[in-house]
Amino acid sequence: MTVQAPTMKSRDILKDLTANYRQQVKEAPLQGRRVAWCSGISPIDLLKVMDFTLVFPENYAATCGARKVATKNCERAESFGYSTDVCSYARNGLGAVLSGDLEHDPVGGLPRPDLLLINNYCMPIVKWFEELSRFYKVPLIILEQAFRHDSLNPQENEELVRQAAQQLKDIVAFLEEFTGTRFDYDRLQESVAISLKCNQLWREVLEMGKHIPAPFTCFDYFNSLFPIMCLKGEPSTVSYYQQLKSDLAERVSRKIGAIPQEKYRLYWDNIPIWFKLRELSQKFTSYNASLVTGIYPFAWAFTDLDPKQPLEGIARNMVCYATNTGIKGRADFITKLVQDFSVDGLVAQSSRSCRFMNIGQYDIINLVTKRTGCPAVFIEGDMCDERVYSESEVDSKIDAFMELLAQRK
Amino acid sequence: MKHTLKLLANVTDFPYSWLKQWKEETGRKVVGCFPMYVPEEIIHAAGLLPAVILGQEHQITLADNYLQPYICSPVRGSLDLSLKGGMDCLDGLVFPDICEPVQMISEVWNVHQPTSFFYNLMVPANTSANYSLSRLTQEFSRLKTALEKFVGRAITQKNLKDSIAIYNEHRRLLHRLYQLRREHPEQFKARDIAIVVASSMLMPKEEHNRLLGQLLGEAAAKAPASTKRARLVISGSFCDIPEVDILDLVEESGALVVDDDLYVGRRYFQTLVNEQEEPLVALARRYIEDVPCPTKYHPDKDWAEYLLRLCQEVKADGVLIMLIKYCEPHALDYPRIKQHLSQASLPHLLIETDRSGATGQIRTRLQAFIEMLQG
Repeated sequence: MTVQAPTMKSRDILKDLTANYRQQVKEAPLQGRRVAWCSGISPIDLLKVMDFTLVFPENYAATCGARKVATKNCERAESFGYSTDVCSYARNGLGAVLSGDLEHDPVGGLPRPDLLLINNYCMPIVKWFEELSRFYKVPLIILEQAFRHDSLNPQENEELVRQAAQQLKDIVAFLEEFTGTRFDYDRLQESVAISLKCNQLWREVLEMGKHIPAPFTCFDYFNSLFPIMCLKGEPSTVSYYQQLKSDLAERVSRKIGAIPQEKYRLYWDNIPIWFKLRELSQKFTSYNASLVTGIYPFAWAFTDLDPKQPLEGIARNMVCYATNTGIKGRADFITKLVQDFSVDGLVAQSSRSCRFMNIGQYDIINLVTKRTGCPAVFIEGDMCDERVYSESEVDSKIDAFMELLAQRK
Repeated sequence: MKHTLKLLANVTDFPYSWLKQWKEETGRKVVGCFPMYVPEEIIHAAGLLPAVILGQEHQITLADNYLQPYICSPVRGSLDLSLKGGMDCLDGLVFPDICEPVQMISEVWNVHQPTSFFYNLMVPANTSANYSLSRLTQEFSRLKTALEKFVGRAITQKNLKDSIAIYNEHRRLLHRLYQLRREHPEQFKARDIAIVVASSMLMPKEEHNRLLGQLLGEAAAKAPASTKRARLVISGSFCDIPEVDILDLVEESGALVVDDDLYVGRRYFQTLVNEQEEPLVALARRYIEDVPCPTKYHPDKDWAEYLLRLCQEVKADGVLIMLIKYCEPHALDYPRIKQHLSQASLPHLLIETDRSGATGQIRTRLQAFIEMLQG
């Protein structure tokens, strides 16, 4: 007997949120609002306080990937001399901007930036935005988040947080000069309080995956990541995640899983393959396998924020989020996920052009296997360049892996 | 000159055997430094030998268990060699944060090949900010403290100043060598120049200074020959020696290498350390104010313009860009360089290398390029 899944009210809210956001972005220049282009993790609360409209080129790349126009944009970048080895998010963004042709743009174009703000979590994001800064002739702010190497001791980690907090003060001063308005610290406290609420709810939503059967899979998480990345610190985002959480709670109370018959519970490692979300979701569903958790969405679930000490909290978030660590740091985090979410197997995506996520991945995953006994499969993919993806190869790897899991059950 | 060059080539051909023997003879310790931003002077001042880790010619087998195949050859190759025991003579390692591969390879290395001294050097991504100099100085000071703990003694200001003086002397000697090459490029094979610089990254600078002095004395004595060969500048090959058989091919095809923008080349010695300033600040300043680096952000330092200026200074007819396959920082800067060079009507050839030598395709393209230049 199949139980009818309850309607997810949150889906409609997400649709509205997305449409409103796109509208707001489109209208920003007409309304005289300043536009900032930002990296997916960056101190955006500071810009919100200064009434910037925010655009996220990485999210744009993910959207282009999902709508299958990213490969075309990558090819455009390649025509300017960018190698196929360059990050496909960067190629997508540079291809779209440098060609000046938004024919393949899936979201109705991006307004030109007045300012650029990034964290230097990887080198390509710096160089990509450096090029944007030259192209649009606008300033680029880089928050040095520093990589939390396993070799650092707790005091050294604290020093990184202190340095980031110091730099945030400099950024505030820069913004005051840039906009000609005083920075309102009361508003920052409010913004951080809402961001904290968003992050907490996002974490609670992610933790719903602990239930058996899991009410949500990674593919759903990837689709509902957008507000936590792009609309953090806004009351409507709080409402969305509250609704999502209660939708999931209802599923849990009625023991309804995200897939009809959950038999295997899997962990997904790394960034999504945006152009294959549906196919992969169907593939795993055909094996009754639910991808119950992954480290990637936890990068936005940082809850050690204090609205009374907003800059310190933001600094800590920018340095200490889940994926900004070495092999041991990430393996510790994933091991805990495997234990808490009753995971049977690990699916590790080596995203061809994301070196930040793929280097050290073999060691991280092998360490988790060694500690937990969970077998792993590595598949080769990419965030949005479809040309490097071999469907038959990935399928046969998943087939073999599921067979292995079946023998173990 | 031949004898000295042969001696240096022996060091670069078998760096780890040479280092092992040096250790046996001196009873001292060696610290391996991954390319770029490691202040060798501080390691030297601690009485240790800093040796830059460069790629090696060998079949990569073991590294595939830990790294995807699409990672650059310097990173994969050196991890592989280490896993095979080829770097056992290193007592310590310093990894600078320059790009994701080097940043993360340090983590992989520390799991599989731990050394008694291990250090992640955290270099700011932005070298133009108000904090860049102070933060790098602070980081060099943290390195100094870690080294002091390792060797069990303090590194004094005098130690640092003495080391800086020796390193600056070395830089001046290399500047003289490069000046001589500019004046009489036909006297120097590009291969030999690469070997001179690469060997200096491995040997104690005192000894290398002595050998360089000899080399310069012998080279200066020769009379110049007039030439009509195409004048090339070579750029790139980050974190590794430019592949010498490709350099040979440049010359066999009729061109002359008049200067370079290579990591194992001008980039290694271009900027001197200010000997009047507090040593750690001076060392940090050297990196902050150094030539444009594709792994760092500085809005006023434009690599494309720097390269173009260098080419104009030496009246180059063309540029050979050697891009190590999968080197993302270099690949991200290439389009801009391409644009600048073509705007200035300076022809260039881009070749991707991965230590598989002068393959047929590289050979054909390079020969055609040089033929075109010599018109």
